Amino acid sequence: MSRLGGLLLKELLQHGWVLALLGLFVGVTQGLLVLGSAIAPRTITMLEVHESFVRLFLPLLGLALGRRLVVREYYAHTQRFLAALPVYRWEVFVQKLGLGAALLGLAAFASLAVAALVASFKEPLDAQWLIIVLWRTEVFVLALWAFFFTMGLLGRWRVPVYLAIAMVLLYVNRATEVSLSRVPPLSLVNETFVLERARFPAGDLAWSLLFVVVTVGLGAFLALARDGGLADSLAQTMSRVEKVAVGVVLSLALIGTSVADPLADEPPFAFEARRVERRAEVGLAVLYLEDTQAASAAALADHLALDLTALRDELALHELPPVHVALRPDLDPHDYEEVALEEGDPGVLVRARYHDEAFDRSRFSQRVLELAIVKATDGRAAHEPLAWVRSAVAGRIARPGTERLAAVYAAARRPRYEDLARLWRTEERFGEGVAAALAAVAADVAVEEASEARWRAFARSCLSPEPWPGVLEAVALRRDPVEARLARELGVDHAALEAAWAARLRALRPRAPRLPAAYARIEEEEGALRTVAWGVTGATPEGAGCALVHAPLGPFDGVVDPSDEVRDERPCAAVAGEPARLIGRYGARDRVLLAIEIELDDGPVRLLAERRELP
Amino acid sequence: MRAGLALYRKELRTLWPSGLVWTLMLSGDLLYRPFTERLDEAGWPQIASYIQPGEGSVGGWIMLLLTGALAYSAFPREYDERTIHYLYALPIRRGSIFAAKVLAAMTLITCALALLVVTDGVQGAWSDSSFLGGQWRLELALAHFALQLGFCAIVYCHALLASVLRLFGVLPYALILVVAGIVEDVYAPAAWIDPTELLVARYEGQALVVAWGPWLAHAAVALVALAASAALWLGPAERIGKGFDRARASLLGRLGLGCLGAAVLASLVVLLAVVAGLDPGDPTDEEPDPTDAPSIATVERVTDRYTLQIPESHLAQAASLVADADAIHRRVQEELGADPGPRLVADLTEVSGEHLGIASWTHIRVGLVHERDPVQLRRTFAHETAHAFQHRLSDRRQSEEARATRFFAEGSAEHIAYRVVPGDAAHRQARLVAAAMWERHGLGTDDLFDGERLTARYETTLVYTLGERWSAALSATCGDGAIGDALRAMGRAETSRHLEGRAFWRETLGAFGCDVEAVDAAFAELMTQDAEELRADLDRLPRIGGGVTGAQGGAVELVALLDRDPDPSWRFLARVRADPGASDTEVVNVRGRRDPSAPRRVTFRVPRALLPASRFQLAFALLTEPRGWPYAEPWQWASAP
Repeated sequence: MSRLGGLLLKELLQHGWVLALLGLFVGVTQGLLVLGSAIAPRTITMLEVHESFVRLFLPLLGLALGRRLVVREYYAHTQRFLAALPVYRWEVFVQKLGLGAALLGLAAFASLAVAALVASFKEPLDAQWLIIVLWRTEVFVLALWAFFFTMGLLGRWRVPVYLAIAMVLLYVNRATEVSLSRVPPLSLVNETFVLERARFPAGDLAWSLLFVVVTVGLGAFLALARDGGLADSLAQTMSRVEKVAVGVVLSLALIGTSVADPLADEPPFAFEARRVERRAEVGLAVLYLEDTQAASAAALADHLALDLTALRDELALHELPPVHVALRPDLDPHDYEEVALEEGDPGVLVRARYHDEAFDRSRFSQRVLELAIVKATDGRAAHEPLAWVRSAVAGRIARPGTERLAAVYAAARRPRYEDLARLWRTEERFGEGVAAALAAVAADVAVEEASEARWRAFARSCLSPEPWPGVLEAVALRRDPVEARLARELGVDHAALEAAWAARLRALRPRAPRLPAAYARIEEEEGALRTVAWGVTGATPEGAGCALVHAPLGPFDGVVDPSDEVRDERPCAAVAGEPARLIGRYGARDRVLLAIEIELDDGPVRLLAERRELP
Repeated sequence: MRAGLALYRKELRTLWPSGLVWTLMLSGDLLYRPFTERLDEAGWPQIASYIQPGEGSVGGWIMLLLTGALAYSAFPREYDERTIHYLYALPIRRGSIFAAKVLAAMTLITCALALLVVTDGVQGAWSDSSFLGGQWRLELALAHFALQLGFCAIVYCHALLASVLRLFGVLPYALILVVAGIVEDVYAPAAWIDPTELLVARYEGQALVVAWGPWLAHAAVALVALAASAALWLGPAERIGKGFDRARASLLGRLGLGCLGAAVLASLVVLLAVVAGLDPGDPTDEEPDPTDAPSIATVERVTDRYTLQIPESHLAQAASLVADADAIHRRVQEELGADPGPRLVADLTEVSGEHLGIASWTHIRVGLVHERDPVQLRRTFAHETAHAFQHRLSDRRQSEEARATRFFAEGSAEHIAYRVVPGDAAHRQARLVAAAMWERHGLGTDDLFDGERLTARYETTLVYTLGERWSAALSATCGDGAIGDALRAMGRAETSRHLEGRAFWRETLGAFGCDVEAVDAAFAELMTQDAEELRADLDRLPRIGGGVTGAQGGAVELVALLDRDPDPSWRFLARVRADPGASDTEVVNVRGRRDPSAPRRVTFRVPRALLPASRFQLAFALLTEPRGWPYAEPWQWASAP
């Protein structure tokens, strides 16, 4: 018997029962996969049985076999017995490499044979197709085994290296332009693995074989260097210090790769169309769709350019964020659609029906300016304690007519500074238009109490365009809240501001439109079925529209995204008598936002807003 | 007792490097979050994202890996390093050694999870904004802590058992997970077999809903695994091993072992066959006509562009399609301005209650057997052929970026199919349901660009109907060849990866001078026009509201109430799924019964066996045509009584 044959016999005797169990496992796996694919609703070909086996089970088999044939030998130091035999080290290396490759290759071949046999009952298989799949399979097996075999020779470092490789691959796939499914040898088993029938993937096969050669070369170096001493020393038990070091380094690397985002430099948003009215000095672009809309676009661009320039001066910004406005003829002239651009995009995109006669440029400008401030402050101006300052700055520049909306609030409740400081709740309760109007009135009062220059200093102290590290910004706002900045920069404490603001609002009360009262009642039906009965009582403005705005809340509170809100619109007169009913949209114990809005000339106003858990 | 304590302390000392890794993996965000995020802008639910509804399984996988590694470091290491003999030499029972190892591991896990509660609570306490601040709740934090601890304990028991076979022990568990995935695809209520499902958070109001049934089942199995691992690690295994060796030494023994192995294999196969037999089918489907059953024998027909596989029993039904196949291919090719590409495999043996056809790369499958309408059959054939072209023209990018492109994949295939095989009535019905849902649900164009978000909220078939209208708008705005141009733009080597919806489409359309905002505007106008044109029919469609009204026998009763009288021929469906992340194949349809005395009331009985969880999602839908697209209300949550 040749030396290699003897070594092979030794391996078979030593691992025979494991190999037999593996054979059984492969059989069971194939049986289950065949059954599974047969009943799965989206199986396109029964060769997917083979695909599943190669992608999932073959790597696991390779991993386990590598441990059994290589790692175990070195860990138990039984390779020293082999070294004592009259065989060359390379013969042991070749024999183990060959045995593993043969076993995995055989398992893969058996898998393909079973899958092809089952598929042949109902699919047009042809030789060329099967040969292509077989080539891809067996070369992938070689690459897989070369990898696991070599990794096994790394001894105690193999697990950290496995983890590091996995981390790098995941990172590359997630955060770079490289798609792993297109990189050999993984490309051999990508989506086209069992579906490509015509094209022989010569390039991928060649690159994969090169990978095999390089990996086996590395393995040979590890196994044979220093007469096998290198592999022997690598197989020593890992010390506790090494374990800690490896654990910490890998954990920190994982955290680092989670935080790092090299794809942040995507090209910024820009309109590709030719019909765009631009104002380069303020980075403004207004898209229109037909030549007849060009004049409206130009008028809006002029209006916004003036306001954006004023904003730049007001907050001493070096650069304004690019502002994109798109025409959307299907929108209501009072509604705007704010579009969330890619994270990291420096600009803002808003859609509006700006060519309509009912479109209010000043009101639109206020919203655009608010978005621009949020972008310029890297999102900080969206934080609730700063929200009223942002809204006030935009309101003072855009100057929409806000008195009537502010008067709605004044007529409904006693003005409190808290309603400014907690602007999200005010927006939810009264509507965004009312909240913006309150902020604008507060700004006017502040300027009167102090001066234009001091207001500007206060605004700049709150809406700094220079973002700090997150923790410092949070600490800074805790240590130096908006109220303290009011007192320092404006010379007016928030109690004084509240008093002056409340007086101004009280003076506006007579201008408040007469609004009906609203109600939303939960009616318990059979089982968990619930109905929301809603309507208004009292006189309603002629022709006004009312709406029930509702949204599911889930278990935790948060600002409700406008896109989550559903509107059930009716003429107010229609819900002034009999209530309208929303049947069964929510069940018992659901948490829901229920708001009732009325549409005024100045925009929608909320008559009622409640967060409720249904009984 | 003291010896046992000493052993426990020794195990804890051994595990402290693992403790460090656990701490870093679970609470490591404390190291970077304060510098990369403003903590005062996020509340507790944003920091501890695993408590959000539908979340938890990702954390489950991380814990599964960490717990598995911990279990694998218990006994295998002692055996590999031969230190187990020192332990056995101590004057202490083997059971105590086992208990010390298990208790030490559970102590480590408990501490790491408790630290997670603290670090998340501390980070989530920074926000004092009116909605986000002050949401930390002790009872909820403790409930999640207990669930995570229970989950880790279950995984630890299994991993301890798997570690007996070292890495080979992973194989049976991998197989179980794969089989569980297949079973879940066929029978959605079996999703609980996947243990990470135990950590998926569900709420009723603000109260956490715990699925006690699956928890008890997993806990019972885990205890069996723990007992087995104790037996295998503590000595009986040695005796069993020696017995096994003795058995292998004799011919009779080998024969017995072989029979045993064969019996295990056969049992597994039978088990899966039984599970396959549990397929509930689609309760909305009509009873299948036995004469419809396709023959197993198939016939192959080869044309210039297809290799068609046809059930021998339905050869006549397929004849006209086979004759027209190449013409359909040519028309699709012309629509896309593409070269013909390789010959496609067309499998006409497909029988599915879930779809009319599917396609991937060079293969298409089309349901010939149950399709009695030859026009619809040709249209489905054209649709699937278009998919095959899409894959090739986009160099598979369309499927890689499925979240942003699914509406386009289905919509453009549908658009091309209508152009290749016109059919005014079917097209009109599709436009009607698209316009109705667009108008009534307040959908926006950005809903289309995020497939996950769209299907989380609305009827999943909207990707076909709305996608078809968007494709029409694309062609109208950027030229007749724009669909093909878009696919080719996706397949360019320089195309960016990882772009989200709107950015992806801006880059794709921008590559051939088309502006996504202009297309969106045209699409929105088209939808408005459709709604006006179809107003009379649209207004006939009732709004459907309803919910769970009770339980009777083994079924949960749902009632839907309509706001106007429906046409007697219309059918009503209740669609049920586990959560917004469920795939299309995991949605169960139940047909409703109309009450003759109350035409606006529809009752549904959903067998409990079909409910994916005690807290589930449902959507009421209406079919105006038996084979048409459904009009559906948005998904809503419900609880089984």
